[in-house]
Amino acid sequence: MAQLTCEVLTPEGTIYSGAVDLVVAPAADGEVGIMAQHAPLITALGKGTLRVKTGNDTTKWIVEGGFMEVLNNKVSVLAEKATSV
Amino acid sequence: MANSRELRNKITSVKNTKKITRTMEMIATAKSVVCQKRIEAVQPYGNKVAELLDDLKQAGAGDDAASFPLLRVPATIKREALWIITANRGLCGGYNANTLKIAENHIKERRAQGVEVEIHMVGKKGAGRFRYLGYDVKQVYKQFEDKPTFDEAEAIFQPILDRFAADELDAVTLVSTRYITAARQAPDKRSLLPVAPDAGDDGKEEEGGHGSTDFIFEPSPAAILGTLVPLTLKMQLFQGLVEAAASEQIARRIAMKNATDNADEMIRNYTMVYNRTRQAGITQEILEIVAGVEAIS
Repeated sequence: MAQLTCEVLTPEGTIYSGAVDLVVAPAADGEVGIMAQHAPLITALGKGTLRVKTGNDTTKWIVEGGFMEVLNNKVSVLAEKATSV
Repeated sequence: MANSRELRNKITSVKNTKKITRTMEMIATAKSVVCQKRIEAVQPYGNKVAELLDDLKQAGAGDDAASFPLLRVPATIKREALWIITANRGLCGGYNANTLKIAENHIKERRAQGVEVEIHMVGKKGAGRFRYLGYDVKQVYKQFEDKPTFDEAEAIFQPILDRFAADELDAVTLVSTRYITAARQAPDKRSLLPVAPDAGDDGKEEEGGHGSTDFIFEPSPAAILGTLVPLTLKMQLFQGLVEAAASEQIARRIAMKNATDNADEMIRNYTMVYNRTRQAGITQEILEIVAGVEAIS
């Protein structure tokens, strides 16, 4: 199965970068889940929990505003604000 | 020739000054390293945002520019907001002066064209200088030290964006010191608004160029553009602040290094003069003793 890589960026730096299985992000109109082989997507983010799942580990952040881009199995989350939970 | 006590005092005072400049140099060196790391941390976000903006333009989201107040291009520029980023502290060589010189020229140029310029000054040093020159500074921001945060940048810039959108301002220009490499920083002037219609981003050239990819846009390209444009602008101001902070520390490091070197040289010269007067004094005393002995015998 193709691997998905994810990086979470804020204006003040990269807060996460690595290989993941699943990304669940709070898009402007509801949560979206991204797995490997997802079609290219650009979406605006609302306020909510961003979850990144690798195996049995889940990392969470509260994010507010920003964007997510999915391209070639690479997810870039550009959050305006992010605090880890 | 100066007397030896005076010289000794002078040497001590220069030595003390040297201790201070040397310490400041070390502090500035440490801070500049931190600031440079911040620049590197900020860059990926800025690049990615610029990339997204390109993708959106490719998708034709900006074609309908009229519906985005931030993308409007005023026919004539009547009011301009000029942002100047200077330091809160001095002792950093020509850092503040060079930035302000560009700003002053810009103001003169714009005033000659009949444009009303309102000045937003970041940093105490620039504010002080402009007050002295008699410019009317609309607002001074002193809260930025060597670690500006995005929240702070956003807080001060949002009102400007709102006023541009509401037709109260026609242009926004930023004058600040750009961090080009660790060895080179130069003051520079950039226009933030109005956004030039497809004039090619003045940011970095795209390397891979995946602009032709067929993206799915959620909720719509236009909606994304509507939030992306203000973000890009805030990001530009924020990057300007971060780069200026790093440049300030580097400028201070260099200024303090020169001061320390000068102090070294002064100490050397004074010590030489001091030794010479001391030697002259001893020679004088010996001559007097010898002369005295000869007179007795």
